[in-house]
Amino acid sequence: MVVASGAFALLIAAVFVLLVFAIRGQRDSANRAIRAQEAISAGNKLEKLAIDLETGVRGYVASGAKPVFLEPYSAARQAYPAQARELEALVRDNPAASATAQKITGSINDYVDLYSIPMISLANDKIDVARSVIVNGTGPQRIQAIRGQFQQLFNSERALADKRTSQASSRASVAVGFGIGGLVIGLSAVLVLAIYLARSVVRPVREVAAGAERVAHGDLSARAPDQRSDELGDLGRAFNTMAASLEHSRDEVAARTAELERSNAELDQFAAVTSHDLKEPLQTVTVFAGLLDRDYRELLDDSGKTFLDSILAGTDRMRTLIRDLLEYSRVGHGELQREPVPMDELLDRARDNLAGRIAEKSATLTSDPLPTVDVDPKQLCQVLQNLLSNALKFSDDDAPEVHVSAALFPGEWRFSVRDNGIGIDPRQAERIFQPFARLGASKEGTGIGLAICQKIVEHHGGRIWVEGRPGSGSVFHFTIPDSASTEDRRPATAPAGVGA
Amino acid sequence: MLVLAFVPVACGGSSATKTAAAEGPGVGKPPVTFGTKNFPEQFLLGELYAQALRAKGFHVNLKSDVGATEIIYRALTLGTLDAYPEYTGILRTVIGDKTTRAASPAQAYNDARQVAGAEGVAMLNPTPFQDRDVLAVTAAFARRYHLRAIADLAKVPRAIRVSGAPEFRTRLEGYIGLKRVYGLHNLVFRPRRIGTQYAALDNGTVDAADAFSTDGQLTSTSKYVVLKDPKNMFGFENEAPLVRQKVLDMEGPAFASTLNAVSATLTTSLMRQMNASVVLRGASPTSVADRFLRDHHLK
Ligand SMILES: Nc1ncnc2c1ncn2[C@@H]1O[C@H](COP(=O)(O)OP(=O)(O)OP(=O)(O)O)[C@@H](O)[C@H]1O
Ligand SMILES: [Mg+2]
Repeated sequence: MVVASGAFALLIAAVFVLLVFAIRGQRDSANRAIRAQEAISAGNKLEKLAIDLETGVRGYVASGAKPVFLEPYSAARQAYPAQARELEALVRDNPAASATAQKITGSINDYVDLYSIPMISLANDKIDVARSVIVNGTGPQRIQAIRGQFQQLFNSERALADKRTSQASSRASVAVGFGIGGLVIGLSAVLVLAIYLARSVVRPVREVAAGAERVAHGDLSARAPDQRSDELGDLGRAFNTMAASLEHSRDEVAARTAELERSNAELDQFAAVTSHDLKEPLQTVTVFAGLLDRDYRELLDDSGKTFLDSILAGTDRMRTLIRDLLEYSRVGHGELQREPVPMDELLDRARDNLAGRIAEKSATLTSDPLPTVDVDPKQLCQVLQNLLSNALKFSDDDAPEVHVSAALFPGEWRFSVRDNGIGIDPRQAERIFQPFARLGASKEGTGIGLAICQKIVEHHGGRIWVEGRPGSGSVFHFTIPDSASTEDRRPATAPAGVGA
Repeated sequence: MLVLAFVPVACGGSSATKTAAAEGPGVGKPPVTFGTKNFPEQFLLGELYAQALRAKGFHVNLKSDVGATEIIYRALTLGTLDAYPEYTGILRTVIGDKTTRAASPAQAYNDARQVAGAEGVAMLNPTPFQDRDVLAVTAAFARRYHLRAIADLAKVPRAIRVSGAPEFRTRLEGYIGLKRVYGLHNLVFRPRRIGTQYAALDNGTVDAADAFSTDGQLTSTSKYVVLKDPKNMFGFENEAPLVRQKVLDMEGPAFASTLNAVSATLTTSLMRQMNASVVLRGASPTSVADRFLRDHHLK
């Protein structure tokens, strides 16, 4: 388990590092995209200056060398070197664009030195010649060529920015994928563990315990499954050996039972410790996800935010799962603190605990007079509370009605919690008592409530089951052996009740 | 020019020619900006002069395609350009505003040299070749009517269709001159864009065409005959590099002698061949110049 939780923590850390890198990559690519935009806009300005040069020269010659017409040219000629330097600085990290920018500067320099300056000088003293020369002059082609170079530069800048962006976003999706994958792995690890505990540890142990009970009641032919190759198989085989030898020597029973109880206690501890071990890495995820949410949320795009929310919700849910798992592993073991308890009182206590929910739903909770039974009050209160809370939760929203009643059957009291809620498909009637079994995903909860109820009730020597049809409400029944009739009736009924 | 970019450069091509030699009289001298006008023969001349200078260690920035005579000459006198190849007749008429025809190539050269010298520009030695207007006919046409000189056209017993650029019609060194100087009266003018005249001659649309003496097409004497111009109505157009005197002084005597050595080799037939390589066969001026200079031990 230590290895598993270490690996889990490592996984979380790796996911976190990936996320940080992804976010940083996105920030870099955003910066690059901004710089590309700046470069393009600097380029646009420079291009406009180049066009101003050409139109200025043309205007000057066409106007017959009127000084005012030279103003745009003069302004552009003064401004372009600085603009060219700015552009070159902005594209310095893009070799292709950088080369093009230098070419552009060279072309504009050539245009100024070898075309515009001689042309203006010609216009100043031979305007007619200047006019006839400018008609066939190379000015427009030169500027056209420069504009082509600009286009090349813009394309190269855009391509680079696009490349960076797509690199970053694919890196980000990989990271988010890893994050989600890691979370899924984490969650499934918890689930698998829970199911493992439920299926592979608790039930076989229960089977062994049932066998033991039968043996205790004199059925010495009882045997536990012994096919498994692990400790549980060993346990079964040990039990079977024990049962076999019991047939020869009842004396050994006490010793073997003690052994069984010890392994039972160890298994409990095992479940408790593992769920405990899961808490710490989970806390790590929670903290980092919280930091991510607080400090980096604004840097994420919409889907990034959705992913982050899923991570936050997932860790919340995992925390509840672990808490419930711990609780499940705790209940139903050890000595019961049995005492005569008036069930009316327990119901009142449960009702108080749920007062808020009852008011919120404007539910009506009624009950028949309830008997006093010999139970562990804390645990039975939890049974009632779980059943009531389900009755409230799985109701149609308008004013649910819940009724609690009790009836005496031979040797046992049967308590019933009836509601007028959504009801239950009879085919699912058994499944819902398994840990984490839930029908429909809409309501909140982890699906541990009824599993706990079952554990408690069975520990008290009773049974729990449900009746009902979809749409017509459901009734949860559970039985508690009647203490008054225990002495004479129990031998007849109890063995059949255990492990039902 | 686009086509040229795809032509593979001959051995020792552009990269070798771009960098100045490690040693030679030009090493350490200030860089020179060498320009050319905007047609293929000028691109070639630019490469020839620039590569020869670089081989001597001079640092040359070659700016092809600067522009028309008025602009490029202006750039030179304003000092934004240091040198470029010019033609004697053009300089004397376009810049020097001379209206009379020169009597000889030497006179044209001297006139041009004076025009430039007045503005602080030196004209180096002229080339043997001239790039001037000529009147060309097909070899078959010449044979049929026994034509050797322009004046022989009078013997042709029918109207002669003459092609030329539109401005050719109104120039004394053109259609007007043909009529006045040579007294030809059987001519009909057919305006055509420059460059299309050889096709027109080939398919018989015209009988005679205004052309340039260094055109690559004229290398083939079996196809075309250039009619002699004994009265020099087309003037003289030897080429010679113009260099700002200041630059010449700074670069030292090896600069001029290098350029003069190149100019001395440039005969009309060699220029025609090089023009043919560039214009008709799509070779790059860079590689054509490189080969020529190596063949003539100028590089
Ligand atoms: N009174 C009821 N009416 C209809 N369905 C019910 C009722 N009680 C339980 N169920 C169904 O049985 C499932 C298991 O119930 P359970 O109490 O074990 O889990 P939960 O209520 O979903 O979660 P938790 O109790 O752990 O918070 C529920 O998810 C629900 O689908
Ligand atoms: Mg519940």
